[in-house]
Amino acid sequence: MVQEVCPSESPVLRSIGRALPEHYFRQEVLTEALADEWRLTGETRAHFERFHRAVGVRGRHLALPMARYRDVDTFAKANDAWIDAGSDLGTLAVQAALAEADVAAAEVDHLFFTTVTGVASPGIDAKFINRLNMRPDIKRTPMFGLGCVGGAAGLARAADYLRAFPMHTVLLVSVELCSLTLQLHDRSVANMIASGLFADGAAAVVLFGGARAGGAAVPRILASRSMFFHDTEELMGWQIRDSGFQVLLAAGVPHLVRTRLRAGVDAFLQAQGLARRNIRHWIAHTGGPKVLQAMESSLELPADALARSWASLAAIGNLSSASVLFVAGDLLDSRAARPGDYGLLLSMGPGFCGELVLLQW
Amino acid sequence: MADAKAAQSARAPHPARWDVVIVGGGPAGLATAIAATGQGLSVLVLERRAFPPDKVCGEGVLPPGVRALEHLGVFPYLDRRWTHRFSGIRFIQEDRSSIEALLPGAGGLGIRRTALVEAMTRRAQDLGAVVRHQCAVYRVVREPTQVVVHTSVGTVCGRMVVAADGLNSLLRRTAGLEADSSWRRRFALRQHFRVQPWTDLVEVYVDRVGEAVVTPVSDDCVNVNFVWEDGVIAEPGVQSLARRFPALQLRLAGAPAISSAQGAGPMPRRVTGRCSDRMALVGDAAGFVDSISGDGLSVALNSALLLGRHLPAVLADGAMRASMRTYERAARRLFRRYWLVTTGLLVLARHPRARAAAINYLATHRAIGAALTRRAMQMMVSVA
Repeated sequence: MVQEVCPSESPVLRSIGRALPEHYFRQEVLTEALADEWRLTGETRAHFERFHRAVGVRGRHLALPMARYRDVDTFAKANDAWIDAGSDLGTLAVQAALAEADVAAAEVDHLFFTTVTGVASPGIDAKFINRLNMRPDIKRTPMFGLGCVGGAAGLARAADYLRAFPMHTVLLVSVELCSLTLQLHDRSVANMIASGLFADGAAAVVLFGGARAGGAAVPRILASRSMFFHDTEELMGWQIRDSGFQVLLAAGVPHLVRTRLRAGVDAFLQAQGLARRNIRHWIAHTGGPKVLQAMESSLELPADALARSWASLAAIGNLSSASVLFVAGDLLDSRAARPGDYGLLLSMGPGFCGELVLLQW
Repeated sequence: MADAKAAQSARAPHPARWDVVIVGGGPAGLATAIAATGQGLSVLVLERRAFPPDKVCGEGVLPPGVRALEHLGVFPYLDRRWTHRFSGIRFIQEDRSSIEALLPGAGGLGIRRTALVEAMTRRAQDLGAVVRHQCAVYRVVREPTQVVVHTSVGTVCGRMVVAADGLNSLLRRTAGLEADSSWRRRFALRQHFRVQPWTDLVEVYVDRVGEAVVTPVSDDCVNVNFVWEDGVIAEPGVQSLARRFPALQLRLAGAPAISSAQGAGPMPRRVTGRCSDRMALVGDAAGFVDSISGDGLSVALNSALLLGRHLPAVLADGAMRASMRTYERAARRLFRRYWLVTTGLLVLARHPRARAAAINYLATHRAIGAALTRRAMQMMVSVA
């Protein structure tokens, strides 16, 4: 389906605020602490350490000081900690995004919120509204369960909304405290990898409708496409247990990326009159080394096309839905994009599914 | 990304803990880096933009700034094709009446921002500073004995951090050093045009809403900066702003734009202080009044020189807030004089009748005008 796109009416990605919790640990420190906690020895310990090295992460930020994780031994305690820490971290990200965009909290018309690492009702988006004194008529769209695709899908849904309300200002917030979902009793391979890969962080994005943004603002969100892969529900997700969120992470994810992503990307770009070679900036979710490699090979990307994603993965780990927003924020900060450049922001997550967002500077 | 990689690989091995980590690789951050490395300190500069970072800037350096650049040893590195001398400033009113303020000595220097930053980066690197580009700073954690800076490409430690991250400084805000400002907010929009400079003066076209400042930055390029008050202009853009100044529009007729229009603001920004434990602010991050006086760069460079000079003593003394009192005092003195000159000009520009009276008076009493300019230049303290 070909979409009619008028660039000047397209929503604008105005700013991306990012926040990390203050507790930072080098990967070796975390690996050792977990191996000790699980009393791993000999071959098992060596395997475990290899898993943690293979994810390509040098260090991670955690919501709590390390000693406190043993106290959060029930779903209720972990979720309470998630609400507390998540509200603080999300507020910081929102403040950073509003300041960078020079937008007042009262100008926000619609607040989208995405997470997969904690639940609350009202959602912690209510905390942002109260703390920052946003308007009483603010619209709210909380989204739970999109997982890693939530950042990209959140941008796409926010842009969809702004096409209907081109004078509006939207805030998209992603808060992911993956460390608080870690199941200390689960010794599965999936959990061993997850315990080395995922970390905590929050990102907030200010988006303007095309009419609100004015003529010169960039980058524009030209179009987006969702991809749903039937009958792949078992590939990734949570099994929700009395103890909390138990991770499901099948080995088939990189294979699926290799075999299915390219056709989706090509079809999407073709519908926009573009091809992969027209894309100058690739903004990929930092799923992990195997997912990034699968993207590079299947999309036949130049050697350093995903350099920002690799650097982000190494510096702060996989922040689920927030990661792709961190990478996009790094690109905006760099001002490396030139007028007219195309960018493709992409992420995949539980469903199994993917979301593609086409940007133009 | 090649530049970032090249910058990172320079001069390995790096210390596990830098004496000074500077956030922001613009003129203020780099001047601090040059001054600090000159004193034997190990310095890491983190810049979120790609090299060379461009930013909205008047690009005119007044004599105190030129002296600071000389002192920092930047001129041998400067690509002279992207510089242009100017001998003074001409203020032009709605009715085209005008007044010229001639600068003392060799005058000022228009320098394309990217050329200035390139030269300063190379100078800092030659002195041993490491400059990383495309490196976004997410969080600065100030611990009792060090600062830990978390970035998009990893984590680094230093004995103290210098926030040179500009008008919209994130570090200033997160350190609680930002003060509210009750002034009306002003914004700037900048674009370069390919045209031979028609005068060796910086021209300031004024009307009741704002001004347009034209600074020559090469033999065939001028920088045009439009500044206006928030909410006064419906759809601020280069076209709509240029229409306010027909005399300027005539000059620019047919001249191709050779940079994309970039906006900045709001001005002014106030601070409650320039220092905190293991952190000092410098440049626009340390407070900015307004672009109208054209001395932002001079103040940034001179306060960076000042900070660089104080850094060894500050570090020896523990780098806590108390150890930075002398810097704070000296920087405040430098800033206060700049505040006076800038505020005076701003108040005058906003009141058309008073402005017309002043300009007409000075136009007929040139000696007094020259004395005032000299006095203003003296007030902008140079520490070089």
